[in-house]
Amino acid sequence: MESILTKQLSFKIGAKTILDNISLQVPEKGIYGYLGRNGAGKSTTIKLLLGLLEDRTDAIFIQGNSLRTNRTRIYTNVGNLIESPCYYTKLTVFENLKYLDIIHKKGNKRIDEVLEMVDLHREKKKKTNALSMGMKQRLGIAMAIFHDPQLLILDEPLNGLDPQGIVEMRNLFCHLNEQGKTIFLSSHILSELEKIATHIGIIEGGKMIFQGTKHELLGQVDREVFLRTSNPAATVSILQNAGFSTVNFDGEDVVVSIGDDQQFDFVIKSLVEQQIAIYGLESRGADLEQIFINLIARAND
Amino acid sequence: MTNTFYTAFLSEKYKLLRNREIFGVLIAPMLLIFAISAYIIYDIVNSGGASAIPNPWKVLLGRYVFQFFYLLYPILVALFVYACCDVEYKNNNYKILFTVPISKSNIFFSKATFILLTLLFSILFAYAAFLISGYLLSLIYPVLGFQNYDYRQVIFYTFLKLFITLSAIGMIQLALSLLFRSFIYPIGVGMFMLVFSVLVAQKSFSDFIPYTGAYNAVMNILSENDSFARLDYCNMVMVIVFLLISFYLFKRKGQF
Repeated sequence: MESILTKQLSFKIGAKTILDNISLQVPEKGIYGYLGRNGAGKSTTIKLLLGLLEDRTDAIFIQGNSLRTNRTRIYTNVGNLIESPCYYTKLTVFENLKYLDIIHKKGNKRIDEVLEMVDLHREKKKKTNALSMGMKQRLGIAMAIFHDPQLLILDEPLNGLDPQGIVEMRNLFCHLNEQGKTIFLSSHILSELEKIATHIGIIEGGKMIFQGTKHELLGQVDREVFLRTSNPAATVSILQNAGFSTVNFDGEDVVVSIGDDQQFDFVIKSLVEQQIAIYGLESRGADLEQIFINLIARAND
Repeated sequence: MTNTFYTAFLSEKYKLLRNREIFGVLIAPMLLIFAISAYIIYDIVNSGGASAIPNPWKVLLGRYVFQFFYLLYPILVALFVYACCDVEYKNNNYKILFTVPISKSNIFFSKATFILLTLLFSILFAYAAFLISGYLLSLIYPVLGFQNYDYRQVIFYTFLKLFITLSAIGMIQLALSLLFRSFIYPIGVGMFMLVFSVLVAQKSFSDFIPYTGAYNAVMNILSENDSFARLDYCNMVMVIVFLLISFYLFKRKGQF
């Protein structure tokens, strides 16, 4: 079952179409990276998923329940952080979580547990306006995960975090995912998304231009394999004869473009058969950033 | 069960009690009464002694207290109600409020109940302070004659009617605070209506302006009025009408 399912979700403001037939399929227990340029419709999608914008077409289903008719029930199992973190400025870090505890009834132990998880336990008694930007972001994440939701919807959760904070949050998301939580997140930091996402959705101009697993996305383009062999000239010749069109020698390594795993297997076997020793091998795929830029460009052609 | 009025009320109470403005509306009227009592004592000491006054509850304590109250109380209420809405405006906290598993109606009515209960406690504290001040003055200066008049019924009705007035003003200010994010508009409208209501207090249509009730509190205590009038019934209706208008505005707030 999908944790989030939208059935041709569309949304207009006046005559302007913001979202056009978006059919999201976020699998349970996955980490779904939602990508798009500024103004592509990411935040609108997220606001619709959380009921902060009204979907009159009943196209949104969270954990199998229609958002339109099961709103409050759905919220017991969904945590969120949208754009900038929300917290009450007149309350301390602890009091902000205590406010949620009154609603969710998880107990003070859970407050301490969550503060430990986001490394904010030392700031427990601080007023929120005394926190740094990164700490406020951590508080926002703490508030999102406080009630131990099965689904986390996070819009730019890494904003304002320092490199160490980003690594910590990445580990936290992976840890939560290992516990069986589904994470739907949008981020501009594509390298981070590439590291943790299992599924990717790309939106451009309100339309979904790609949706699938990360491997499906990365498999859309050739990767370069760098080979250090005992005889580079023979290696180039063997590979060219085998039909590989893009083979170069950069003075140190032979670089060959490979489409899929079968081709990779073929390259290795061919070299071994010709008794060429392989001293080094490195496979470099196009990164998510490059693929994202290519897909956006293709969509706009 | 999370989605209950009780849970919503507890969470709103927890959050809103941390507003400094709440102490203004709860304590300031009470402190004002004690300050006026202190001034009365100072005045007696300064003038060389006390002399008998016909009904000092009305002429001495009541006159001073309610002349301050009709200007002070509506402004305190406006500030307090705005502060209750402002906590949600800051950081766009409506995003928290509308994604907790509590219905919007439970959240709204718990907020409105909290406001009305705070106003009730404020009036009760002021009422108690008024009676205590009178009794203390009767003990310190028996010659003033506080003990010679049983004015409790008029005092009770004056405070009751003031509570109804403040509840109506509170609900109007709630609607304004939900409508306008900026501090200027709800407070500005509140102050304008306060001045306007004093200017038109003698006109018959003033009964339909809840803010007039604050000015009428002075008249009530001075004219020993212990019955409900058209203004009070209008104010009761205003509480309900503006509560519903505020609810509509609150529900509409969900659309960012």
